[in-house]
Amino acid sequence: MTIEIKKNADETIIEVVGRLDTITAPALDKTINEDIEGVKNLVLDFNGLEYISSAGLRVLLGAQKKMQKIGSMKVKNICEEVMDVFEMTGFADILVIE
Amino acid sequence: MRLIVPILLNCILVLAVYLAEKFVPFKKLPYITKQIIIGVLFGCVSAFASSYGVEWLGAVVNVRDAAPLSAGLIFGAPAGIISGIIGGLYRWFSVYWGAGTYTRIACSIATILAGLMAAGLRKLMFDNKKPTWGYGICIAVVCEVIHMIMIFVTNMDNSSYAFEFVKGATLPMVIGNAVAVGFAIIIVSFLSHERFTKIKGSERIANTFQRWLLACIVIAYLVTSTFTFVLQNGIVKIETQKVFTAAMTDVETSVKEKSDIQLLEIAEQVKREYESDKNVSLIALTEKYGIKEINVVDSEGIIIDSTEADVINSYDMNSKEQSKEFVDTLKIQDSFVQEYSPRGKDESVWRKYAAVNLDEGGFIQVGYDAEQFHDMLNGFVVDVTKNRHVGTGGFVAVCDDKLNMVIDNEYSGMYISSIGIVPPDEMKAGKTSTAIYYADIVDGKTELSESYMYVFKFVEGYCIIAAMPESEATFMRDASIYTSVFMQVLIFAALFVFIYVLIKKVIINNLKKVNDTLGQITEGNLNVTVDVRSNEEFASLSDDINSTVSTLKRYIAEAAARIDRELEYAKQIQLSALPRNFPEHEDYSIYANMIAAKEVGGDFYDFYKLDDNHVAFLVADVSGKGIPAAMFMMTAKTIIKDLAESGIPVNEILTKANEKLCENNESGMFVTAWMGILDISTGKLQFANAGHNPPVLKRANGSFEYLKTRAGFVLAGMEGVRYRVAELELNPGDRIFLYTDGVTEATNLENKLYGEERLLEFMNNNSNLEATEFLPALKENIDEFVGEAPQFDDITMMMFDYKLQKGGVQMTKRIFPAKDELLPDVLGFVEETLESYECSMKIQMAVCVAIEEVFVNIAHYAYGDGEGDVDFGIGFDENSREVTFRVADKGTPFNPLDIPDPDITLPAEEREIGGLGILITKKTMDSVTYAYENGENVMTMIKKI
Repeated sequence: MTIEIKKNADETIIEVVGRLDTITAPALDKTINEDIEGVKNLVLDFNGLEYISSAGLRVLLGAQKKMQKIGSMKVKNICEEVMDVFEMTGFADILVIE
Repeated sequence: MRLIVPILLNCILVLAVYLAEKFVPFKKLPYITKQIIIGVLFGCVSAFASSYGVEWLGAVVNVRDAAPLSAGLIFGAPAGIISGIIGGLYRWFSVYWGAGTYTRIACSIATILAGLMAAGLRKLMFDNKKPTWGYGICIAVVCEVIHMIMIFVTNMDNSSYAFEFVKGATLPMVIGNAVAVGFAIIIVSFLSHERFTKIKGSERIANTFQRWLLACIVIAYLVTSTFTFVLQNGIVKIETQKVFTAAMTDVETSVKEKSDIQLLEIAEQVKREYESDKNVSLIALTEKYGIKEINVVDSEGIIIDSTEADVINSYDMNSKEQSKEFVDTLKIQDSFVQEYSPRGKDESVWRKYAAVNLDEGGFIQVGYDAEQFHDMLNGFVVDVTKNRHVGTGGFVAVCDDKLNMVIDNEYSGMYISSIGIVPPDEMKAGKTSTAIYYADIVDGKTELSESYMYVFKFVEGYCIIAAMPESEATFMRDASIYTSVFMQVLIFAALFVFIYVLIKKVIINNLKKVNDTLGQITEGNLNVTVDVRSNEEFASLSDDINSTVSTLKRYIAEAAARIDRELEYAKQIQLSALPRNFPEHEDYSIYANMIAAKEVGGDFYDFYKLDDNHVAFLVADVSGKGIPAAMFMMTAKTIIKDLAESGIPVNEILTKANEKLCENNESGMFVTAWMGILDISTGKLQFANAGHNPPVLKRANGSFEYLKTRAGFVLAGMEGVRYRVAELELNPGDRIFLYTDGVTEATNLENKLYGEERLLEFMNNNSNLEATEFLPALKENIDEFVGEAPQFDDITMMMFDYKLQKGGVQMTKRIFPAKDELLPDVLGFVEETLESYECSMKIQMAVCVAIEEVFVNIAHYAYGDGEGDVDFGIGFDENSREVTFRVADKGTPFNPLDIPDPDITLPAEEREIGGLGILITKKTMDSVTYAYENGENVMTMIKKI
């Protein structure tokens, strides 16, 4: 999994490519909680994300809870397989998906 | 004393015959032969007794009748009759060698009658059994009484002689015969160890009745006898008095007439002498005629002349009763003689007077005293009394007023006591008495004295005594008392027998019939009916009993029907508790059948899927029958199922079930069971046996064979029993047949068992039949073997067929250490395998997520801080395109499926982190099951691709 952080005027965009699983999830967690401290509007670009497991979902849930308090968080470019997981776990409803 | 010999002989013969009857050769003789022998023997004793008697009044007192009575009463009717006839005939012909003819007929007939009586009474009264000695004696007495009556009857022409004989013979003969018979019976009773004392408690109606009847009869007999005696005694007195009076009156009249005539003659002569010579000396006349006194009385009644100077012209005849009678009488008749009586002038002097009228008026009276006329009369009196009889043996005696005998024999002039009469006071006083007196009077010729009865009367200065022997007076009384007593004995005896037999016939025999029937009813035969209709009471009793029995029968039938219904319900409940929906699974099939016996047994079978990959099946048999067994079966079934569903290994199921069943098992029931749990996908069968019959296993290409493993103890038999697990790998096409002992122990009428060999043979001959056909065929075969014999036990059969059509479940297996780092390897293995099944990428991805969740879960939690492996197996069924994933670990038992699903509708801030993984797994896979088996947490997941 690779993580790339892009910032523009309004938003900070994190592009996640590869598999977000038990092994990789802690890396994303670290990025969100440490590397982008102070960001108000976070966008997660899952254009390259092909796989997500519950470990990844946990990171997303934690991020969602955090960003909800201080600003906003969006998720975009979700592939079909990941979307399936979001739907079966109800994440499709709690995340702001574009 | 002489009679003792035949009595003893009779007793000895009774003893001998009794002992002989115990002796085998004699015992074996036919009944009638024995009876003839006994009859002849006793006949001989009877004949002997006949000659061996005591002479009495020309006949012989003997105990001839005892032998026929003994034979008839003790040994049997025919023997009695035979000996009676022999004894009777002997008596009849014994006159030719010197026996008396006087009692010939009576004795012969009486002896024959004795035999007949003994025979008849034995049959009628004693149920053809020996009577008690008391009855024996009574019968002997009655028999002798008949004998005596016969003597009377056959000698009516000489009844007094007959009476004399009977009077003397009765007592010895009655006693002799009674003793002989009584002793004979006592001997036999003693030898046969009969109790002489009464057994306390209830006695037979017949006995009570006999006793009371006997008592009544005896009382009646005594009362009538006493009455007869008193009556006869009274009659005798009256009769005797009559006889005396007649004799007395006769003599009295004769004496009086003679006396009157004599004095009147003297008076006539005195009158003639006085009329021819008025101056004749009256004194001279008195001397001439031997008289005491002459009075000439004028028509006025005044004595004008007399031998006694002091009365001349001074005594008026009318002044005294005695003399006035003359005055009055002579006014109407010419002469008058007065009785000897005290004279009017001086009553201390007794004198007899006669008077005749004088031609010129007045009358002349003459008188003399007893001495003077007795001198003249004595001769006449002697003549009058001499040949006079009172009755047949009595006599009349006369004494003068000094009580000296006036008689022409040596007693003449002697005082009356010389013939034995001690004069009573009245007699001494010269007063007549009406009483009857007794005295022992001496016969002048024989000088023997005999008891006499007598009366006396003073007539004309004489004391006339009429006497009669007492025996003569009482003869009629005694004769009539004897006959009436004899007749009463006979009548009452006959009455007793008659009433007894009647009662027996009317009541006792009927009671016995009723009792016999009741006995049968009590023994359980409710189909008999009482049918005694000889009288209304018994008919009603019979009807009552019959209706009671039929009511009872109805109740029993109803109760039986109710029990049958209850059993039927129990059977229905039992059957309904058994699963009837046999799974038509592709990998296995189960078919089972239970045929309950009439009484509910405790057989059951059961099967259930524990999860998608495990099926449990068992057959069990509860000891005992009926509702308790059915109840126990329900309990056992439920407990086992509960335990099985908790996922523990089969041996532990039985171990725990045993513990639970042992609790509160007070009825001591137990269960045998064989239970198996099959891992469907692998074909691994784990089973345990609690004392049950070995199942029969058939391999796909082999034959049926008993699967004999070491069985554990029965369930519920003992606490703390641990069961062993056995394992077996089933291959597709293998079959297992389970059954209960109702199959192998089915029994035919010859008590042969169906048996294991026959079962195996049948199974191998029919091994290719489908289970649904096989079980009925087997049942049919068992029925054929058993035939008519009833089915005693439930018959339970179960066929388990392992098919596993899911071709591939050739699991691809791989073991990974349970560590997060290995995740890529795991997923790589999964993807690679799925790739080989031509699985779409999308599904591969989804499955990988699911597998990751399971694996990570194990890696994080299963082994705690320790290390362990995760066992992966992936199988594929090409037909159904289902992939089966088996993930097993040996860590802490934990069922992730127990974690509740998170609420996925909550907003983000309320969402929990946990539970998502297993949720994803469940939603991704088509089925997810968990089992803990053999120390492994096993997750089985199926996904169609």
